[in-house]
Amino acid sequence: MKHVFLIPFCTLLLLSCTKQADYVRFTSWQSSPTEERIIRQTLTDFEKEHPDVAYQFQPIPGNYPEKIQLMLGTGKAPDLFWLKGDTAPAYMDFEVLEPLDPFVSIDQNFDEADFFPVFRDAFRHKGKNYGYAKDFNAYVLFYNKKLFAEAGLIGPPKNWEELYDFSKRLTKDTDGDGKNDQFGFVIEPSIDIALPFALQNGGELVAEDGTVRVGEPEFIEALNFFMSLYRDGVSTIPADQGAAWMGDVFSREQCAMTISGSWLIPYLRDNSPDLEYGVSELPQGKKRGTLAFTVAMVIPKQSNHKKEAWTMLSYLAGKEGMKTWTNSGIALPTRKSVALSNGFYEDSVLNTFMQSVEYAKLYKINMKERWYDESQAAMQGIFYKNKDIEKTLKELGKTLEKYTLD
Amino acid sequence: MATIAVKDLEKVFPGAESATIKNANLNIKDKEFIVLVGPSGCGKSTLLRMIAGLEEISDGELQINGERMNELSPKDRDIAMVFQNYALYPHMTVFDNMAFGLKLRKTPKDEIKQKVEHAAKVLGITHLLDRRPKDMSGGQRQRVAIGRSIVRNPKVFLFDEPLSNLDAKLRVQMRAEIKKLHRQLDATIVYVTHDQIEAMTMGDRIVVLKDGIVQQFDTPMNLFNNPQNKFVAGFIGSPSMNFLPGKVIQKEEATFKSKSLEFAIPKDLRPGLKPYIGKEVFFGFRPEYIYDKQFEKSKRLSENMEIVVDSVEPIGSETFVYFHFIGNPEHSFCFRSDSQFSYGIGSEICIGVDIERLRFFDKETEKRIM
Amino acid sequence: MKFKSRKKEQLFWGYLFLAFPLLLLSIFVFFPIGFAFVVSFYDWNLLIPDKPFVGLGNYFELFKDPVFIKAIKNTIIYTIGVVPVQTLLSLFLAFIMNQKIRGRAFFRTAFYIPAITSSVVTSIIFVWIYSKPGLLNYGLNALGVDSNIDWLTNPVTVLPSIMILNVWTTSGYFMVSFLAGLQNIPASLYEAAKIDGANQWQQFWKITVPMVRPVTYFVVIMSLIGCFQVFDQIFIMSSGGPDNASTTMSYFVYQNSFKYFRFGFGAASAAVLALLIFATTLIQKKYFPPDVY
Repeated sequence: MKHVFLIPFCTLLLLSCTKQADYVRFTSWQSSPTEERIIRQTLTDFEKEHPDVAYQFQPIPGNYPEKIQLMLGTGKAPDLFWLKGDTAPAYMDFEVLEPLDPFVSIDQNFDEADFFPVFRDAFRHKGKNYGYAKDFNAYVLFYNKKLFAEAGLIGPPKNWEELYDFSKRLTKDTDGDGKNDQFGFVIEPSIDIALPFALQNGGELVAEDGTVRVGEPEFIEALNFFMSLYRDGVSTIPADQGAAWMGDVFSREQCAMTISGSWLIPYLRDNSPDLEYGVSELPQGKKRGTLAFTVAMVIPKQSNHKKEAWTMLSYLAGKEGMKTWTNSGIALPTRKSVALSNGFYEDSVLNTFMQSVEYAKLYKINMKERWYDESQAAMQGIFYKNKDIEKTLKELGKTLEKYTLD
Repeated sequence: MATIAVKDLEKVFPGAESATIKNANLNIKDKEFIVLVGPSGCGKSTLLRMIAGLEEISDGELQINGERMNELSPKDRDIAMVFQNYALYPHMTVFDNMAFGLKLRKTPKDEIKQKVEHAAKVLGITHLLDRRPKDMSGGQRQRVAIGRSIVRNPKVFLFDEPLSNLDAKLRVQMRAEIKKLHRQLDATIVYVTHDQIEAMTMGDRIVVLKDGIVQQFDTPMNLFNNPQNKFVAGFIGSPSMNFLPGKVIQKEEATFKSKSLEFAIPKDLRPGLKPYIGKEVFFGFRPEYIYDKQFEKSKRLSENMEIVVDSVEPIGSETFVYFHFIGNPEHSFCFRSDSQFSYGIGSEICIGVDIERLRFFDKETEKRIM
Repeated sequence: MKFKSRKKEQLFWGYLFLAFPLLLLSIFVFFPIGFAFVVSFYDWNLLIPDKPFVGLGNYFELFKDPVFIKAIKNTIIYTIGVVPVQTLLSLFLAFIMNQKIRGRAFFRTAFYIPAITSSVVTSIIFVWIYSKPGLLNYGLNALGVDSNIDWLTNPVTVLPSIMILNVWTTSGYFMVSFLAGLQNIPASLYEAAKIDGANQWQQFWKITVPMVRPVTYFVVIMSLIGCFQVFDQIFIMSSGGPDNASTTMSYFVYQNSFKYFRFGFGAASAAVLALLIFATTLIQKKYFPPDVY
């Protein structure tokens, strides 16, 4: 009787023993079919260059951060994967990533110096470099040329006063129902939209050394200005227009200006191809300031194919790979040589992004993950509950002190 | 005062091929105890429910005390009903069950208490007032159901086969109690049962129903002695009347002739049967009125009928004898003899029927001729 | 096989048949629950090998965390608001469905479809309905009520909006339970009540509601448990905002475990939630038992 159970049991046991994969497993998230097509094209080029490296590309369709976390935790992480700049600090702090300096030092072609300064050390933590930025994006100002012309304005605003003034002049009631339906500007009660203003005012969320500075006067003053745009009615928010995000409001011409990254360009192409828009650097406050977003390629410590993974990384984040990748316009290059050779400085729109790189600050907060939700809650409190800005930001500062990385 | 008048009442259920109640006409007097009886599906419960207001009246008129009731809801008809399955509210105590109707009519609390306690006393259930229905026997529950009806002091009490769920002994006991209650309450009662013995013992007058048609509305004795048709004749009386199909033929006198029996029709009955000479009839004779010619000398009996005893059932006070007529062993009949009956199975006896109890029915219409 | 007695033989086969489902349950239900409880006593980060034992540290931290306190408050408000309305509404609907009224089939479908539709789908649809230019404002304005807010970004209306969505979604499911219970009430009870003088409303409260009590007990418990665990709608419609106005305990568990990497802390908050549910059902069993007649 007992033998009957033994045979299937043993079979199950044998089947569950997985064999070690003998190739590099590379993963990324999936945001669009276009993106995947270009990835695969870049990989094909890589194959030609390095036919000896066996790899498998397995993109993850959804819940990327959770899946990567689980894979890392259960020892099944891919050998090479993408990591967003804002989640990177946590991963680096946990020391689950492999430091890449030894690989860089023996790789002649990598040319670390080619990276723009702001990206070169983007993924450096406690002296070790854990990843390389494969591309970047930055916040710039998009403006509607037709609406500007109608309001008698020629160029985009260059500073806060002009931003406020232009927004006022561009806010009007177009259908005569007593309510404004066109706004000069659109903002979002979100920390990443408010942060450029803080930077432009000389403030910041958290300093490099870990000091929380959100409760300081520069930030408060910047947020006061930010909020005044909405309170005084010259700017709207997506929720008020029933839109999902700021780009949607801009594309529907319900506002004349918006802050966005280069991802707005294909969106406008698909949804409002006739919208004539211009791109300029963000209007400056006391100084120029904007946020840069980047994604790194990283290798986990637990990988068994680190050398092969580095070969892939070196190619994809190297001059050749980045050239193919950014040529499509899907993202911007973090290497100066690629920017030059792909003609990014010549294109009027793309040039704006490249100029922003000179002074952009990386969107990378060295705190425990919870800082984001706490900051968003504070912003929501200010926008939806009319909480006092100074009080809220000071409280946020105290809360965030609990989440510094140690 | 509570008279009930049913005029040309008709009930057709939606989607039904024929009417459940056809053309019912009844005049019930104040304080009468009326029983509706009949086989399953005859419509007696439907008729009762139409009086209650639980079934809509398709045609005709219902009057209580001369007032038209057709459109009134049950609560406005001042009636109370006792259901076959008691329909007690399981989540309430006996007291609350009985008080329910009064509470709905916003009767003051002490009045409710007084009425409920009085009804409980009448029915002997005072000790049960705090109990829940599930903790009581069938008989107790039935009493509570009756109690619930009494407290409201309605004009008319309706009973829908209330004793069907009780065992035989309890049923007999409850029958007497309900009759006693009728005298105490001094109210009009309409009572439905399928048991003809129950009907005979309880009713002042009985409505016999078959297939939705009122067959006869009469006192128990009249139904027994003068049934208007074969159905009533066979329904009332236990054991039921014997029937023999045959023909009236003209010999020297009018004669009844069937397969196994032939006898001259008594002088008194000949005029009535004259129109039926040559026609087919049913001959009906009750087990109670069959006599052994050898022993019965006092009554006027019909001509000799030769029978063979099939089986004998002595029940102590009487003996039921099952027999067949010589020459026709398939057709079995019954007669009630006294306890002295000593014949065995297979004995041949000569019997006769009391002349005054001979009954004849038209074969086609089944109506009684004589 | 030989057995000492027939009883032992029956026991053997009984346990054998139980063994496999019990094994599955143990692996996939009992063990994870127990393990999660154990994890709550550690500072457990999936990505860091060092997982120090902190005893009740996580629990202490929980009750000092203002977001957790808010989550408890929100969860309780949500439950108190949804359970009675849901129970009454589904009973009322079942009562109507049980009568022979016209359009019965339409109403039955209209209320049961949301119950079987994916909660993600209904949430997304309702995000649009609740938006500023959405159907709700449109309808209210058409009725003459001036309404011009985004219901999901207003801290006062966000939780009630999600509560209403949930009542609509699950009432159909409980309506079916009540319908079954209603069919078990003998028609003669209603007839006796009618003769006693009860109108429809009185029949509903004095006959239907008491007689359907065992089903009510079941519905209330299931509703309570479901409310305590509400997650899908929060995740999709409001992400717990604005300013944690719609953060519930289960959302808090998710955030802390999967977004902040703190499995120990998240497990502790899940344990608190489980205890809360358990205590509530115990109280209900003791003070509001089903009491079958």
